[in-house]
Amino acid sequence: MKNRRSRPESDRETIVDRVLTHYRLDTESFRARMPDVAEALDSMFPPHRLSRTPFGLTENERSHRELTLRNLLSDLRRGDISTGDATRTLEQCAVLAEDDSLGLEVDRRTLLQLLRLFLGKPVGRITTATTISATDDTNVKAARHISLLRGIILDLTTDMRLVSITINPSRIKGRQRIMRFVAMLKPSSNSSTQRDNSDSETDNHATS
Amino acid sequence: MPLPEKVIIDASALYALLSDRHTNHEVAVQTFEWLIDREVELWTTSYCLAEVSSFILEQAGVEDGSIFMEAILDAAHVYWVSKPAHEEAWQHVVRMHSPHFTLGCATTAVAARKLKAVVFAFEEHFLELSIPTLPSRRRVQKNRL
Repeated sequence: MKNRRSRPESDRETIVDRVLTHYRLDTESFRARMPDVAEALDSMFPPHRLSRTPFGLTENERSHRELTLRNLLSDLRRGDISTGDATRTLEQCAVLAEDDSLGLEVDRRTLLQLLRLFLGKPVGRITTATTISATDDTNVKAARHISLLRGIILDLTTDMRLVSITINPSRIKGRQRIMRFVAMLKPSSNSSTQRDNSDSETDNHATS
Repeated sequence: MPLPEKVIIDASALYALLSDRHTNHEVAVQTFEWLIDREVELWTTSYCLAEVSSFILEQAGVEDGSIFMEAILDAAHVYWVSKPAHEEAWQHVVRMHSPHFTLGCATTAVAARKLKAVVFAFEEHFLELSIPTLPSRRRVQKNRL
């Protein structure tokens, strides 16, 4: 009992995630095994709240995952996050990214910070393409591959548990090359007349 | 909108990316980063490249023009406009009768249909042609966490 009480909040949320995933993926067999839990979940997720997001999450599942992620990110900002928590945060990010529900606050910097915690070193220190395992269980197989950042792919099980992370440094560098033209046209690089023409012409071309 | 399989970048999106003084610059950058980070298959048309690179050459010179060309060719496949595609695009231009809907935009529309791609653009005429576009209203407004 003592162990149960001391279980971290993030572990409890992970268990809730797993229960919800099984309930959603195979409701009928879930109901056959745990009718009382299924009944409780039915009342929490009535049919009108079961509308699916692009990835297939219900509104409630998405809200729950967003809340979990928000809590984990608060821990990250306080510097109070373990490698295990970083792994769980990356899993939540992968699910929400696949769902197109990942908030803009989870920016590249945050993701690189999480990857640094997971890897034990900055991503930039990895110079050759490599796959780093997230589990000691060799029987666990990846079924989904989600690109979180260019050159960084999260390999996940069907129920979205992280199996490994595949890093391709040449694609990471390629991203920097691609982004070089963004905001390339600086007003200061031209005369004032050219600047005015540039701004008005750019807006004329591109603003709907 | 679920993650699209293919996205074609229109000249209007490229203009928005080029200048941080552009009205849609921030949204354009967020969308572009989202697309390249999620490794979505990106396309653009040879006419959009010609149109936008001419603009950069005029505004900033050949060095910036080269950086742009290398970056885009790294990021996206090119839909090379054929004579029939040119003729179809020109029909769109004539029908739209709008100074904002350039021949470059029209080739994007033609390519989007051929490739079954979503268009990354800030040009509302694509909606008139029933072509799905990015960024979606939901994505632009979303800032929940």
